[in-house]
Amino acid sequence: MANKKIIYGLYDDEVILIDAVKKVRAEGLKIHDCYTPFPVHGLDDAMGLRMTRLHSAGFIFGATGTLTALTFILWVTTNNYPINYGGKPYLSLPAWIPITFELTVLFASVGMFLTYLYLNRLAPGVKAEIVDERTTSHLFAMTFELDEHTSDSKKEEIRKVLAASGAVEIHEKEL
Amino acid sequence: MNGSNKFEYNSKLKTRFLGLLIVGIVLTVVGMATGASMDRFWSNYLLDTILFLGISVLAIFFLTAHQIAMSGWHIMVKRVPEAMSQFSKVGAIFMLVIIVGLWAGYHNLYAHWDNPFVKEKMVTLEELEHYETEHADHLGGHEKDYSRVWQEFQYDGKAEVEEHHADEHHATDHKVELVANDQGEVVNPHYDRLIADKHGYLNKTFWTIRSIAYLLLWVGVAITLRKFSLKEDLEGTTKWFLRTKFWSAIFLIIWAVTSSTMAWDWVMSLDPHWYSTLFGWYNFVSLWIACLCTIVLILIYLKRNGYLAELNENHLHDLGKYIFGFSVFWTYLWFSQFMLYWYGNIPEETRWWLDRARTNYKGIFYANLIINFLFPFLTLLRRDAKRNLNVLTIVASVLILSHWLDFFLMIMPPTVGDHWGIGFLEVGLFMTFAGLFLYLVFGELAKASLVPEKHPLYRESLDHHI
Repeated sequence: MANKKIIYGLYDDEVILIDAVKKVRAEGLKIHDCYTPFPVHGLDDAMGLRMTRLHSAGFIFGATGTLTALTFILWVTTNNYPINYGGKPYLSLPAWIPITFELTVLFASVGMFLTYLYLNRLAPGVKAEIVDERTTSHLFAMTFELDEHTSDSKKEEIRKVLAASGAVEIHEKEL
Repeated sequence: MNGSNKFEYNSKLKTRFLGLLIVGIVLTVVGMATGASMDRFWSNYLLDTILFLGISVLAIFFLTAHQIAMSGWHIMVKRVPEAMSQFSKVGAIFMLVIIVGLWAGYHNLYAHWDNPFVKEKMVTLEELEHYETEHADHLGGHEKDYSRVWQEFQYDGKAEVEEHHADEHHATDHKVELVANDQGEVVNPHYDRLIADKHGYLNKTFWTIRSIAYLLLWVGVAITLRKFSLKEDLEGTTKWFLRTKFWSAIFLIIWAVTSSTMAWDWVMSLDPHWYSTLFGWYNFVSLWIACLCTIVLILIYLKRNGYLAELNENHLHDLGKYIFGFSVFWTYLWFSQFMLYWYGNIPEETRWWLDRARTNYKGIFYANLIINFLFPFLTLLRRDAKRNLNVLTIVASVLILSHWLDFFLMIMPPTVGDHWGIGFLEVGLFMTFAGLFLYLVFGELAKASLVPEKHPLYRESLDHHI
């Protein structure tokens, strides 16, 4: 990670940023990522990002919770420790529903939370990769990844396109 | 795309709706001619009145709740519920027929509680004999219900409580035990303490006053809000927006009370022994989903015919989320109501489910839960589904019918008992109401621009993005 080099342009308005993203993509350049101080509506569409699959993971976690609750309660109430509650049958599905619901929600939310942290490389103590500190307060960054094969002419092209699309500053940086 | 927001109500569409209405009436007549009873007719009439009146009143709720929340996105769809809310005028007239019918004796819908005799504890033998001769048909049928078992249990304790087998005995069998007092009166074997105790609330006069009050309040607000909205189109000042806000707040207070009492008075009182404090919400959510589905269907129709160019999948996505979320909420209420009574296991309370899940309503009982919960849950869960016009069309159409079924299950057991059916009469009457509803609502849509462009939050609605 230490030798990851990027080139980035800073913008001072989200409307300019969205237009810039469209322009840059039209030029055929591959944007690595955008960093904004707040969620910008329409940026995902402009960058052509695919939908997150976090909710599919959530569904799977939830379904796991449902199954866990049902099988566990089934085993306890009919097999492991059957108790007669008010003359109800041991296998009383209605009585299990609230717990099943709770466990579904618990599995789905905790599972999605951890998946989210993993996908975004977030955890207590992990140092965040901040491209430019000003993107946390008032500026918007568009970044491009560089590697050892990136030629100087390519860099020059990126700089030109960034400048033409309204970037207020352009920097190169090693993260 | 003609891009216009002025709806043209062409004669082809009018003919189609009137055709639906006429076919509906014909089917209803065929249903009646092929042996459907008057009780069945009135039960269906009540069902369709509540459903369509409910959809139109919930349309007012849609407008007022969004107004109070200062929502911007709904401006694009606002004119559709506004047009739907105007049907409340006609729905109120349909309901008035039931109110007048209670006094004039057209129907027996509320006969369980609208019966002075069961509220008298002491009666003379002549009165008793007169009553039993008059009601000979009913006392042997489903009307000779658990109330007898209940009151015997409460009052003399002598009669054997043979639950659920009341049909095997005749009402007159008990007369042997009756001993007259000094005034020549006997303990009325038909005395029903639960109904007598509810007399203060559940009596003809108060019921009528309440019912008429609901209708007047709802229709009054519907007319007022529509008037403001149309004036806003002409003048475009914030004056009408602020006035709408005031009346919206008033309506929400009215609705908070009347949504529950309406459900008690018109639906829950069909079976006056049973009660549930959740019942008002349950009815409200059922009607609310039906209302949202109707809005979605009308919007999709307009969109497909080239109107509402600015309406996009983001607006429909929001409505789809409503349908999805409230279907889950409906299930939550259904289950909360069920589970507490199931756990408590008190005969007088569980009877409501025994009447539905252990009788020939069984199929509908389970179908209701599957279609109203699992179906929208699984189909609308994905984001893409809520943004897809075809999926929304299918789900919304099914849910309107399944909430009709939900009301069917609430209304039919106490009124027609085992003699229910879904045949020409049911289908015909639903089509009659649907035809009239669509005919009038599209007529209202044609009266004004489909998008209120002078609304202060119009711009916000254009930029809606989720």
